[in-house]
Amino acid sequence: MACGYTMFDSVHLTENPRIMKRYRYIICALSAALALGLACADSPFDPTTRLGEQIVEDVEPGFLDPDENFKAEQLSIAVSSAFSLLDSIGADVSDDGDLNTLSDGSFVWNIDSLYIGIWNNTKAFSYMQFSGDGFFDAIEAIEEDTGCEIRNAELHLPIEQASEAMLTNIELGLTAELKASNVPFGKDLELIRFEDSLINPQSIVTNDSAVIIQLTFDSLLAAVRQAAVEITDSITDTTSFGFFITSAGSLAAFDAFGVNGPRLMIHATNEQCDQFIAAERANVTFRSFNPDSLDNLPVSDRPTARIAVFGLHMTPLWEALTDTTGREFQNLLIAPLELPGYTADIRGSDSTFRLEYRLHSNRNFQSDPRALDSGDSLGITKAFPETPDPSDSLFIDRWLNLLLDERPDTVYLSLRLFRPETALRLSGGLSLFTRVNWDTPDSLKLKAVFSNVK
Amino acid sequence: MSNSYRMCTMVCRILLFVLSIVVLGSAQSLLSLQYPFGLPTNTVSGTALSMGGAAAGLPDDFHLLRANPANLGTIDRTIFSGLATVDFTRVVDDDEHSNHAVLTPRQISFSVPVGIIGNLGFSLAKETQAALEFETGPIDLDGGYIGMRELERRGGVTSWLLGWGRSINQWVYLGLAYERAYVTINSTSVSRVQDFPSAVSRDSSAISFGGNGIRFGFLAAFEKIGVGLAYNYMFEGDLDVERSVLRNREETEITEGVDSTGSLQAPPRFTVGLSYQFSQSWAAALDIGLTQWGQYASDKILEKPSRENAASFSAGVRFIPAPGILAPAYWQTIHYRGGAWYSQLPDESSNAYALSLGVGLPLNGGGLIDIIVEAGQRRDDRYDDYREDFASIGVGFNGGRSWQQATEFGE
Repeated sequence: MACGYTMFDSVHLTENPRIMKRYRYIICALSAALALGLACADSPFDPTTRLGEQIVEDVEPGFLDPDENFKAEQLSIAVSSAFSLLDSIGADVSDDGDLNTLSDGSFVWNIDSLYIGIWNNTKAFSYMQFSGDGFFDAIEAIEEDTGCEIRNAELHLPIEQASEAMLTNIELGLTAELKASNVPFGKDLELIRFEDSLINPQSIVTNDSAVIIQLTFDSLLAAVRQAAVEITDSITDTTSFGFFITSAGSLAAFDAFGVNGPRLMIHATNEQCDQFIAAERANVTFRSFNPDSLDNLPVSDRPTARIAVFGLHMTPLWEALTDTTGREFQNLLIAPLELPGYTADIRGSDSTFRLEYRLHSNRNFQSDPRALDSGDSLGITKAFPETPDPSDSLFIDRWLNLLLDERPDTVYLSLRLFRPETALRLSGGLSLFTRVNWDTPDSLKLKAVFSNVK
Repeated sequence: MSNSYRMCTMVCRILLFVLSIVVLGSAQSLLSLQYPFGLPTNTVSGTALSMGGAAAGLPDDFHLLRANPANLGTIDRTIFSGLATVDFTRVVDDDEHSNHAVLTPRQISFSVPVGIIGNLGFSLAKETQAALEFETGPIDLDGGYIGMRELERRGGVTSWLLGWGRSINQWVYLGLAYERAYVTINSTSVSRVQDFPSAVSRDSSAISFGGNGIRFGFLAAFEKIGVGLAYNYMFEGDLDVERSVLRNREETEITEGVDSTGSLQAPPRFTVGLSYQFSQSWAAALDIGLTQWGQYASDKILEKPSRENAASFSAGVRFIPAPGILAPAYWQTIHYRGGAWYSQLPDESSNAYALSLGVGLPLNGGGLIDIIVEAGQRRDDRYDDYREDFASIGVGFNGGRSWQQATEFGE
């Protein structure tokens, strides 16, 4: 079906193509110039207006009244308590030396660094466990080859970061257990025999990337067998053995994960026959020389996973929500809390530390002192200098807004040193070896701005 | 493809590019804050807009069914029409002013003839516009902080019509349309502390309504005189309110919603239109409208205007230099139009008026591109120093084909 023409068609019969072409060029040029001008110039139009205040005030009475909408107040918040706790990583660690929460057959989650050495009156012990079956299979594999004989064994510990000097006076203990038992590993450090005979005293090699401890193979083999027999009367496939390592030197951190984790090398006379086995699980513990003193001090410590906690008496804030005229403010726009003074011990290339801070309600804190990761307390991280800056503050309004209905008398501020990502650690940033000793002030200033949004 | 068609295509593309730059701005009307649905938008075709919006009594293919559903009965071909405007506003308060702009797609409509049944039409339009972004100046607070308050409003009324129109005899036409209207008003009150981007709290409310209505139209054309009546009635419906409070600090958001409902009775509107065809070249039209705000109710959820009835008047003329000549020059085929309108706004002391001018550029195939310029002012007598000067540049697209005629000639 074809289309017909309408009354308008007649008017085009005499169009002059030359005139139309000229019009087209002129309009094209003008339009392009206008578009280009608009595109290049700052917009002459305003996104908002501040005019017409009277209309706004008539429609939304009180909208423009500062007193109706804002209240800013500086409060003195009393510090009711100050102490420190081991955080969620610390839950796997205890000061009495028991390694009581090792999971069986895998690395303990959240432990991606092993520590060895002395740190702030604390001695770090690392534990790494190997499969007995894997160990004997490796020996068998070397001995099957007539051209190879076992030369020695080495424990390789890839260095993640070292606080200061090389490791010295490494001590090595050895123990064994049944993998199949699937019970928490429990050993008292006092009962661990740190045997010098395991280590070839001439051969502890430390370089930038690893500590290599040469072992006396015969002593190692005898000790593994003895340890295994002690608990099972025989050596079975389910036997595992593990090394406890500590040092009298300064603290060093080692990778605990995967292919970069600890490994036991068994060297043959022909290096093509060398075998190795990777650690199947690892953990770390610290022994403080005076643990009671730490518990009663607000200390944030990276290696020992210790967090400082301040109890804050919040009643003045809740009272400030109502002003003298009885007007109720039900929202905190901003509430920076003065940062307590501190002394930072940072041993690394980075002279700053990053703090992760949270606020906890009284109720949650009392029900489970370690449950500081409850759903309503996501942490904020912020970098601070080695020397305190009086203007630094902690913005805690997000948690205070959550507590507006509950209004607990006391809230708890936790200060935990942030654990940097691996990439950042490898680049030399944010030292793993940081301790912050916080002052215990009588009170802290809180500069609050309330709004009346309900 | 003719030169005129190419030219118009190119002009349209460039205009769209320019409009896309302007759209980065935002509309502003503080006065609209007082009205329940924002500011009314003239949703007639570009052809009618350039005559001040007077269209209810003037039969014209491109008016379709927005101004008067009975106009559908006058059409004997397939028609489409669309209109978009760039609206500029200068808010003036005492000696200060601020400038704002926004692109507003106003309406798109089409109709098809369905034999002896008459014509069926469909139309989608932005009926009102509630657009506002207001902020206070800096507010000094204790402790060295600076506070700020902001008020944002977005939304309006969008509706679609499904209509029918038919001629009763050679002079009288009737039309009826079903209307589905959607009201959306989103308001946000903001408190913030300057220099702390995350120290913000927002109190938001989203008001929504979806309701049904009817439009009735009558049009009589006695030789040179046209008389039209149009009546628009919306049935009562549910109005939903969703309120939320957002306290924001970095990545944490706390949202508390409070929902409520009420009912909305939108005001009916009645329009009388008159037109007179002086000659083939000259025509004039006049519309008088009345919005019955006295019948409006929203359970106190939306603002309550103070007027019982808001009247509006619009009038315009059209001139085509040589409509009957076989071989006219192109300029002689252009439709030249002018008009004016005055409208009482929903509050007793407020009103608006504007003058409009426009040209309709004929296209091959029976189409018409309207270029409209409108300028006017809104004010409320309660605010002596406050007024809103506005101007709009509009582009209307109109086209049509007469399928029956082709069959008749056996092509």
